[in-house]
Amino acid sequence: MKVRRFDPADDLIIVKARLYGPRGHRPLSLAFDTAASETHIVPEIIDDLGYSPRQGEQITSVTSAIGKERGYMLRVSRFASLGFSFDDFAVHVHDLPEGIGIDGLLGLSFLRRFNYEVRSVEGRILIDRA
Amino acid sequence: MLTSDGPRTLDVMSEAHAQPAVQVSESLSWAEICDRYSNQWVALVEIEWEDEDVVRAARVAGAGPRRADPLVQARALQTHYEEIGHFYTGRVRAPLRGFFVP
Repeated sequence: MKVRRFDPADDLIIVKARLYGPRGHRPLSLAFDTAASETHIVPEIIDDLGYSPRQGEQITSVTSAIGKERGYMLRVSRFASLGFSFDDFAVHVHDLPEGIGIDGLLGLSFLRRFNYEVRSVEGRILIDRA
Repeated sequence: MLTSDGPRTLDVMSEAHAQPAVQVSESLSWAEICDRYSNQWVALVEIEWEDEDVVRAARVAGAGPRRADPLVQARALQTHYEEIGHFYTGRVRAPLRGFFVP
């Protein structure tokens, strides 16, 4: 079992992730979001890593806090979070509001591969590979 | 171009001189980064990790109020650093509505 810490004082549960691409890798902050079916990353990071929208596999659309957002689904060479990593991982590239301080959402496309326990008062997430 | 050393022209400048200058800070603790670059997005290099997920210290290669600002500033360093961290130094705030609604 792996244990990851987060700051229980934050408005959201924030975890670290690493996204890999042609220009290296980027450690990021994502919101741990069991209400998101997919894992979302903002376009600035995807572009910075050397990916192009032309590599997107399909155009997607979501209704978000800032309106209806069009984006696309992209497979990144590697994605890592909570102590686990996956190659050829699909992320959804959509914008998020600037002021909230995160680079995306860690959604169920990643989380459903694990059993996990969120201990909010302690600021800890316990994760087991299912 | 005139400098205190006398006249210079672009043809005598080396390729290294033609590279955009990137100011990289000295190594700072995460608390010092948050203090010096308060409520900004930062690009970090030479990150010292604690438990894989906590930034103990790093050098700041870019900073700004918009998410893209530090990435643009640090772009010239991509050939030198595989790992460039992208973090916000302020408090994370939830949106008034959920991120994605049906």
